[in-house]
Amino acid sequence: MSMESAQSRRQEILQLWKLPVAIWAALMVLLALTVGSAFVPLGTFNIAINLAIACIKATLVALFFMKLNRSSSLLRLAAVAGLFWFILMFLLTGGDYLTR
Amino acid sequence: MSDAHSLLHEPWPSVERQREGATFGLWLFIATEILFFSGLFLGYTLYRNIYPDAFKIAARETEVVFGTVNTAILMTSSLTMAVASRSATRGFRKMTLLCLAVTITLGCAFLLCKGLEYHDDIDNRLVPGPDFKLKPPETQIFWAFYWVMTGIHAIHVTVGIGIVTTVTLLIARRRIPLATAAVEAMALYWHFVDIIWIFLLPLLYLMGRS
Repeated sequence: MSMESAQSRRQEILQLWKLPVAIWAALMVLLALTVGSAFVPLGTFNIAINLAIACIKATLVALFFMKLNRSSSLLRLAAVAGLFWFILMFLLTGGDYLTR
Repeated sequence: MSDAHSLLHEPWPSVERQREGATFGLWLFIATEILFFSGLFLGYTLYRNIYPDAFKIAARETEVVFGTVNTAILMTSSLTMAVASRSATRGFRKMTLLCLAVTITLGCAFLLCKGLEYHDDIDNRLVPGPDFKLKPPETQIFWAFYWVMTGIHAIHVTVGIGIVTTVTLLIARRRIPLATAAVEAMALYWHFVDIIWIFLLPLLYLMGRS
């Protein structure tokens, strides 16, 4: 009986690591991609690709490490509120400075 | 769970509500932190738009190896922090303490790398001022953003290490229960600091390399 429970405990610990390690591996692959692509001359696309990869990495961290994928709507709303004001700040300021 | 009695505090009706209160508070704090950092990101974007060539010349001088290694260190620390948070809620005491200790060590390794990098930057006369080595003078604007953004980020990492160390010691001495909402709350903060670095990497280290 106790051997069985020790085995199920080990199984549970493996389960703890499974998803975080998968996300970590994806983050590492994206890091290699972003650093590698930075040295390939692509003009304006360099910064575009690097920022897109940064957004994907941030989304992975927010969804799976910060658990937004299974949070209550209250927490998701709080997270999106910060992002909303961030976008508003960039839109209003950019609408002025970048169109002069 | 024997911890449940000492886990619940006033004014919460249940442990679940208390846990949600802690994470909700942390998410509100993160929203203010996003706005705090967005001022710097916005300033950076506008100046990069006004002086694109100077920013490319300036960005070539940052140490891309340190930047990349530090990204890998922070991501790995986020992994151990995520596992610590998951094992704490499931009652794996040893695994939680081990993962938190690794997280603290990786946080210190990040600061050590950053310190070595700062030392090189200072040696290379990359501090804006009369001794600054690059031309045109607008390159100093990029380096001002570099010092302020990485400096404030490093302060956040330092604060994070302090909080994680405190909570780890309290759990290890059984002064607070393992299932405390504090582990999840500080994990959110740690991951947020990781996200800020994810955006600093392309803006400060990867620009103007090709």
